[in-house]
Amino acid sequence: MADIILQDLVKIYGNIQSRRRRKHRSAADGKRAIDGINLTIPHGSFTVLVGPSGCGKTTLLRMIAGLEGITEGKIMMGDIDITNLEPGDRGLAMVFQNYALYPHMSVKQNIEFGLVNARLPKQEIAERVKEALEIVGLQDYAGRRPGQLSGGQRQRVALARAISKSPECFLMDEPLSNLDAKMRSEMRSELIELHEKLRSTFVYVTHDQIEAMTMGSNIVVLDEGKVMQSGTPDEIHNDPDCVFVARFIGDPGMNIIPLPDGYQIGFRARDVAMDATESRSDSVLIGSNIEATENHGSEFLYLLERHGQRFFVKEVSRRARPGGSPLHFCVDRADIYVFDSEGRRVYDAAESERVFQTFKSLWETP
Amino acid sequence: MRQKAKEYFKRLRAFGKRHNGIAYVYMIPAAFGTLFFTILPFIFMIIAAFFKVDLVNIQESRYVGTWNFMMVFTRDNEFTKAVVNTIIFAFVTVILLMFVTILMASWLAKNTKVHNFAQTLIFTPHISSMVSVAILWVLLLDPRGIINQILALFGIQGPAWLLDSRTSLISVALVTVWKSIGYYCLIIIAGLQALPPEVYEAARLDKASRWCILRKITLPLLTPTLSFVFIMKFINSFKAFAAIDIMTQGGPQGSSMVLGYWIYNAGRVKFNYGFSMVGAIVLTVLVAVLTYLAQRFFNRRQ
Amino acid sequence: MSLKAIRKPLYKPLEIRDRDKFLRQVRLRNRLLRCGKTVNYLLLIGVGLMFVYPFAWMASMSLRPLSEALSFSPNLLVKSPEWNNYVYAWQQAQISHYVRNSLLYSVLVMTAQYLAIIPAAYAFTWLEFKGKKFLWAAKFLGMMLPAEATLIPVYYFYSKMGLVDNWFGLILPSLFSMFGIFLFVSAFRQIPKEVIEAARMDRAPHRRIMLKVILPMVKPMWITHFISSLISNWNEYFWVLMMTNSEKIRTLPVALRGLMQAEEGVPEWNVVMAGTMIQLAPILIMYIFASRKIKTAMVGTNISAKKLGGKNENT
Repeated sequence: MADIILQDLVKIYGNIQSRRRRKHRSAADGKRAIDGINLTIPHGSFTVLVGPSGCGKTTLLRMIAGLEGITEGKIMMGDIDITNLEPGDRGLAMVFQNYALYPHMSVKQNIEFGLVNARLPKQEIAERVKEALEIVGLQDYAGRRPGQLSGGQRQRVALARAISKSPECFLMDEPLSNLDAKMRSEMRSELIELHEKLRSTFVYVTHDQIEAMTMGSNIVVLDEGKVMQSGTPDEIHNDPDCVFVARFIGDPGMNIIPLPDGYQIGFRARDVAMDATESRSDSVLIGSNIEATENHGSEFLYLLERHGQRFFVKEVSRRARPGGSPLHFCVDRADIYVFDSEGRRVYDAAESERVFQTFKSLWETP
Repeated sequence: MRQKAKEYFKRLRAFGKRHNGIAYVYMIPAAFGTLFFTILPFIFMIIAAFFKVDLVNIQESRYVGTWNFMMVFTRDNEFTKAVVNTIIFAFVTVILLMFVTILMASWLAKNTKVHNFAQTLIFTPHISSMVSVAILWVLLLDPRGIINQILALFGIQGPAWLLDSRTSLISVALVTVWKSIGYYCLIIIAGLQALPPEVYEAARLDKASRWCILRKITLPLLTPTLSFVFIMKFINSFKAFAAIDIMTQGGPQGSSMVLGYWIYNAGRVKFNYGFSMVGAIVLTVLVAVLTYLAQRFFNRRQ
Repeated sequence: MSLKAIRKPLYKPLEIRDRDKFLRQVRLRNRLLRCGKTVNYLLLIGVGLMFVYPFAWMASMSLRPLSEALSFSPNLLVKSPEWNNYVYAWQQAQISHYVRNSLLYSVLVMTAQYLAIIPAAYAFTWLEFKGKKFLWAAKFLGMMLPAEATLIPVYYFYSKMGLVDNWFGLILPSLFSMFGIFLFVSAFRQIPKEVIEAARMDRAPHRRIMLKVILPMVKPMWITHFISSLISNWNEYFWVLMMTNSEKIRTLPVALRGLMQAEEGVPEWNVVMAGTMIQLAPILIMYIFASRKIKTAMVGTNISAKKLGGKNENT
């Protein structure tokens, strides 16, 4: 079993020396795109790298693929060091955001190209192409050119090209972002199915946290070239390590309320009891007026404001409450997350109890 | 009277509004130019080819049927030579240019300071006037000139280039190639840099070697641009004039005579319009047929 | 569905037995690549010089005394520069007169051409009028007709209309430069139709749309066309040669030909070279200061015009 292990990975763009010569320095020079990443991608997992744009997730993927140089650190595949290997020798296949199909070759030739370069016997090439096309359901399109296919079909060809090589690991760089919404959800479930069928490692990059939550068995949240947290979707969602992850994951992200002493309180929009009236010791009762309403069909999202802080609460209901009407809700102690002034989660029970009491004294509506 | 004029202008303005009248105003110069520089010369060309044109008194011109054609095709040695030379000239320039520029462009297509500087240097002849370049090369190709001095270093007795009927046409072709290498290199480089980078990354992941990438990816992807550029150049080389005029004036003994220069010589120097226009028709037909074939070739590709 | 073939792993990371040896190979490869880079750079400069050396040699020739010039020495250095060659060319060979003509020709063409090109391109792109298709087709015919074929008839018309040796006749065809019209049309077509429609909704007349809305939007292309047409007009040879008989309004390129062929026997090469230098100097100086702009202008205009069926103006 070959896990992918990243050790102290650093990527600095541009000429490091040119930092001294101001004149020739461009904005990207000397920027640490990847800033000391240590990470293990378990074999057979569906690992999703997720983060806002510019967080370095694509750079990280391309470093694993060997398309981007590595400034410092090591990449291991099981016990093989692949840091210095050519991209083609790393045992990976990649699916690009804009598919990167060879426009002048037919679908069949596109898939064959890598197999021919790997000097496979003809018989086996034919078998592999046939099977790969069957898996993605494009048997009838083998002779077409990419230009004659729809976006979804091109995406499948790119997948088939990767599948045919039966690599140890699939790398996917936002493969669904160029598809329309319907196609995207279709492909999403197909990719999950494919992963179950092939049982090889998937490393999947996306900026869409919903995509990450629905597809990944292992999620890595990145920001500014650093790993913020990694874990299963449940861990990431229910146990965020820091404010950044809490805000980034979930729809909407967690409400974060700063307290005067620097600590921060978080709770999720749906973890509230609506129309609560009586106050208990292990919960906070908050009252406010509805500022705005978002209709999500079967549920409603209300924007509220208190002490100059805006936050959302969610209610499953048939009918919306009128705008401006007062709303009382109650948050349980168990649903409240405490973060320190640096944005890190406070795990110490006594400390977090103290912060909770401060919050309750300030925010409780009589 | 004034009332009438006012009424007239009013109607005119109304017509203009209905028919986008301003468009006609905008088009007048262009339409006049087309008439004067394209359509009328075209008609003149066809008519004059069948006449013995009297320049001073156009009414005195005589209709001579196909006599001009007969004379030019059968009696004029220089004309046959010119047609053959024109075709040779076009083939030599384009094939040479193609080989040299494709190799050089794939060598020069990189975005470093040195590469850019080299690109700037080889582009210099293209912005210089053909006249200056031609005069310069008359000197360089002199029997005692620098080219032969260099050849002498290697113990080669260089030919007389422009003054030798065996090498004059090739020499002129070489000079035009030298002048346009930079231009075509930059065009190919622009084409290379417009190719999608992810395709190359995909190829690297597909274990393709550099040679394989050049043969199976770059060249096929570049073929549409390349064929377009070079077919256009091929057609344009039928119109070589300035280089011939300065360097050899068609000589020696008509060895470097090309159609464009022959037409000029017959019409503008010898004032034999009938002959000149026969040459013009031949040149036009050649260019038109080639353009048509090229057009069909490109349409089919798309 | 069977997964027989696909189940067999094909892409496995390359295994390396001797790690130290591999790292040594990597290091050696990197060092060789660095050496190759330097050699490559030297070769690049060398090949580049092949295209500039003749011009440098020309400058050196123009400063030699006649006896030294006739030896055709490839040496670039001149012991005692003979600046008198330039004085002689400027005064005796009347280069000053031709420089004035060249300047006048370029300035007249550069200013006059846009007056006709831009409205025509505007009409072709945005307006509907009768005969549009015919005119467009005729323009294409004009592109196909080689100038070498049409200019003899045009010369005949000119001689009958007294336009030979005449400034007006000389700049007349640039007013209808098809190359320019095609170029502007191709730039105009990139502008979304909605922009014109929005301006029409604002009750702007076409004249104002053209001047205030469209022209600012195609400014980069305009600069590009300006540069390339300036260079090709300064270098123009064939047309001026055809339409002039006297030296009165001949421009510098045509005059150079005369300078080279005038005298019997051997021309005074040093003076010819001085004249040629004067012809080249303005453009080469421009090129030294704005090489990138000029390169993109010359390559860019021709490509975009060719896509529409235009031809290279600069022969």
